[in-house]
Amino acid sequence: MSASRSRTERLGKGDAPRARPPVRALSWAWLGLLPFFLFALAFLILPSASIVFKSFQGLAETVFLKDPSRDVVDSAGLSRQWAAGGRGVSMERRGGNDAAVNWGAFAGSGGVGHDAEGNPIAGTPGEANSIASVTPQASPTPDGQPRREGSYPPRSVLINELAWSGTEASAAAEWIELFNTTTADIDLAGWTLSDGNDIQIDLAGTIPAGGYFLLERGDDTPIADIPADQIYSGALRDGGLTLDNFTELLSRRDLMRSYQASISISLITALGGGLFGFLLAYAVILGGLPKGVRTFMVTFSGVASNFAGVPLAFAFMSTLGQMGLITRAINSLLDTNIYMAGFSIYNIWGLSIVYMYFQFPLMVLVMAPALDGLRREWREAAENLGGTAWQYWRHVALPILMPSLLGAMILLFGNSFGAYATAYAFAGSRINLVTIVIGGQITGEALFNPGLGNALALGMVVVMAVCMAGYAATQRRAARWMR
Amino acid sequence: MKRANVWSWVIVFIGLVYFFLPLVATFLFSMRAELGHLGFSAYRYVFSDPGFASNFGYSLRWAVLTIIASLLLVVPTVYWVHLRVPHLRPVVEFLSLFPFVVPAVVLAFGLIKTYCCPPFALKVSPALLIAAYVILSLPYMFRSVDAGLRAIDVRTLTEAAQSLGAGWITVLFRVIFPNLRVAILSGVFLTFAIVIGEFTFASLFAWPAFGPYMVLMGQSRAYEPAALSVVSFILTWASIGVIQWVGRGAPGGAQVAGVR
Amino acid sequence: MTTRKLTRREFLKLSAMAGGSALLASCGGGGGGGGAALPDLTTGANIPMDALLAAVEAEGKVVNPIAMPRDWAGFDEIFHILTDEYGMTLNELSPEFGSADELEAIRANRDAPGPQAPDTIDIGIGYTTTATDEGLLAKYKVATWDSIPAGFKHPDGFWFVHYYGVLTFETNTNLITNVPTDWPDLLKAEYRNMVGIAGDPTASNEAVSTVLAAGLSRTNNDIGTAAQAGLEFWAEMNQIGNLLPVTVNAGTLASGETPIGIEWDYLALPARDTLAGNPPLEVLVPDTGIIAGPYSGGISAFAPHPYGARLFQEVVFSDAGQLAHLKKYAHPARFDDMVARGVIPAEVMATLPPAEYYARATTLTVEQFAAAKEYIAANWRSVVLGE
Repeated sequence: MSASRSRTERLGKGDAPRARPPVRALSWAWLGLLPFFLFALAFLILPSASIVFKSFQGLAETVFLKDPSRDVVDSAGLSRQWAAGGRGVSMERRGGNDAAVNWGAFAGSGGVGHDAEGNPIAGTPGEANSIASVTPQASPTPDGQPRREGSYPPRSVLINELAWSGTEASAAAEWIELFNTTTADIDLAGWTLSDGNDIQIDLAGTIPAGGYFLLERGDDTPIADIPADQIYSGALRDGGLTLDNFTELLSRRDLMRSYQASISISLITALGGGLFGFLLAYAVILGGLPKGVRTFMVTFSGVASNFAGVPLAFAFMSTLGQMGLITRAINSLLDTNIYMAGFSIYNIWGLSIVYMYFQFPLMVLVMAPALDGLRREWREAAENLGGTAWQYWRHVALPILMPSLLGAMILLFGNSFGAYATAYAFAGSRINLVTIVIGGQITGEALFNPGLGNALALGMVVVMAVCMAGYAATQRRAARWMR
Repeated sequence: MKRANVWSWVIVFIGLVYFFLPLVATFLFSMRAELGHLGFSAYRYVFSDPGFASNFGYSLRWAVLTIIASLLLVVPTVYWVHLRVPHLRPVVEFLSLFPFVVPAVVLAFGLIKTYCCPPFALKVSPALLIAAYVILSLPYMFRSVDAGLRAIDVRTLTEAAQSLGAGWITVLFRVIFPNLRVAILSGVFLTFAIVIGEFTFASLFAWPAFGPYMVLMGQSRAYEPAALSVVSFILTWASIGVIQWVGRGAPGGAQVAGVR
Repeated sequence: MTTRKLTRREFLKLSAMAGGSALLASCGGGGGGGGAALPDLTTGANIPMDALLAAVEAEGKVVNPIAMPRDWAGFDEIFHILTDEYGMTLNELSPEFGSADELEAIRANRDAPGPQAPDTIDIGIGYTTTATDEGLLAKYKVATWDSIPAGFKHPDGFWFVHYYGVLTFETNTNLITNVPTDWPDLLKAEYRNMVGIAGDPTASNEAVSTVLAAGLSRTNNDIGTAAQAGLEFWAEMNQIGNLLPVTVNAGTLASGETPIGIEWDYLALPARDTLAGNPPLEVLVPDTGIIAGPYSGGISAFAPHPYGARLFQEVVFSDAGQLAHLKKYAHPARFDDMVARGVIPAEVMATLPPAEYYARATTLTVEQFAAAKEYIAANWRSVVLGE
């Protein structure tokens, strides 16, 4: 590059800079990036991977075992996913509470009993679990305290084993096993086992001390050769890896609309914000204005991009809201009520106008370093060679700026796409944008299906990945100009 | 140049109108807190509210920590990429743009679920919030530093400095950082502003930051949120002014890559 | 010169790092428990005050209430009682959260006790079934349990209504001369772009109640069909353009963004008082479709400070606590009992809206509310917003 030659000359060195020996294997060079990579791994990749993974998880359910005082004594599937097991393979408790780590798939061979078609059950209904060394322990009862009748300590009776996907013979042949961890027989009258959905079982019978209680679904055939202690009806949803979340996402009009709205606003503000922001940045940095203007604009931009959220919402309500400054001015000057005419800051175009408030400054701030790099001598050189301003722009300045410009606009797109606080400040969770819907699911289970929320998030990732691919392509193109 | 000047002024004027009109409107509304005449009672209320000082103080503290952490993480990394491992640049760039690929709301969810419980129980300390803020600032820091480094010839500078006998630390802190001053500052401004006004992470991680405080004000008071908006704007602006002053340094410092 | 710059930077960084590590080191670690024979928590029986106070002392005298803004239904005074009289430290979590958000906060912090985990919640009655079914709540019966009406509490003590109110119309009379007095009035063309509701019917108990109340007005208090009728009413409101997507609050009322709002009386009346005529706010109960909205307290089953949480509830249900609700226009659960015992000052009674409205209010059972809430949450987007 011509610039580096002139700098070297200014340094007073006539020769080329002393050549360093070529860097040996770059096997150690990347270690310099280790802190960054570790940070990224811990705080970016791990959480994101878990979200991506969970978007493929169908909605399973949780089964609650309650004593006569309606206290929850035990549950199965609290994490909304069956932690282990599968078709024909039971999910056994390994010990402890209903965390995912405390469940495992049936690990023995052969198992106990046979299903309706004579296949051996991969499970141990009515007997100790295959990994019997870890015996579930009930939490100790406080000594000397009177226990209210009908109230049992947590996990005194356990949901010990579930075949939520049935047997080899039939996926509907589900069964559940309970285990009494106490040293006394328990009369199960008044106890309930329910999933909040179609399984509502009023238990009846006695579970012996240290013994088991077997429930089979539909009739006594799921486990053909072991009699059930109780028959129940109702299905245990399977959950598991599935594309159901995505099919539901694509089929729901309101969710598709949220994408449409988010993308529209992001495109509008990326292009519009990029354009005017660039003009503003250029005017302030290279437009021949006093240096104070630049300093002012740069610091102001830093603040203005902060303004998102409640302050921005309030500011624009005061400006373009129904009783806003401009609304009233237009009303009195032009005798038109813009809201009656259909304008609103709560729809796509209105929100775009609001979002520009942090998009313009962002563009200014991001383009400032790049514009600084636009050497004045290049402009002078172009003019010396007889070029017009337009030619300078088209052949010199724009190609050089293009990677930064495009990168900045993609930043703007992403910034707008991920924006949450401002729309939330306007209308809580009522504006239909993707981030708002996801936020509603995270804070309040608004979609009633965490997998669906994760699928929505994955959709956002896909949109952004497409952008990034486009960006990378332009980067490669423009990079040719740089060297 | 005269012609360019006029257009520049026009653009700046339009920009300033767009930016200041909402501020003026907010200010006017905040002044209507007293019946019948304009007055500052909304501001008196805001300043006398203990929540204001404590919440803003929290956010201020975390902003400073975030800036430091982010600088220490990003600048050496990008410098190293430019200097030694340019082929890893796309990887680093992709990682820095992660917060765009995965939005803040979702990232918050992922972070909560990953770090809620032992053995990674980070959630109970603000460290997780700071990490989240560093993530939020990554794209801007990376962009700014990268553009700044692209505008100077890193290789030549480093080689020149090393041929004069400088070690790595000296090169970093005495040669690279000063030349990146403008670029770094713009990243720093953005990070500061982001953290002060940030709502999503602070609310979802349940920390008493300034963002949720403003939302709460907005739910219950009529004129005070407007006053709060104006005050927060001025305070942030002042703080950024301080940062700029601190980063100004002595005029005409040793800049090898003379420019502008 | 560069040396000076360097030193300043180094100094700033070092001091910041020192400050940062001090900050981080000082965080974390809640109050210590321990001590012998803490009162039993599993049966839900009432704990006598002295034993409770001793246990709270052992716990570190902290409690984390969630989603209880200070200016909502008099919680400010209740918080003051806790801090001033009992010396408690309060971590007021997420005051901006709605009922659904609170339950999710309990779930999310199940395994992470700490300053972020909620101890006590305040949720709309429609959310109590979900909370109980999922085992999110712990049982407890306060000292004044028997004076809480039966319909306002879970028989085993999982939840207990703190206070209730009715939905009111609040109108900025600077901007609107013809004040709406009933639900059908809201559909008038003159109220185009004027009506705001308080939240999202998929997450907020108040918004669900707003839909229900409109429905009750249409179906003449037939609860079974009210949810559907309410959604149809709001669909019409949205279609003719009277409904704004903005969440109504004192600010939007004052600025004129939503000149007409629908909020609980204990939110509307204090707003009217705070605005003090700037602008003047007229708050009235609609003629038909009067819905009573009880808000229920609960103790998280995974509360990091279970005894602090129980003390919190004792304060809320004491005469002083219930009176704190009433002073801010929220009818406490023990209202009838306190009236019968004559403990309510006359001047407080005088500030309340006429009693006959409350007499005509429709109170849904928990099951009815939960069913209506689910129906409305599932259908709001499609029926009203047409998506």
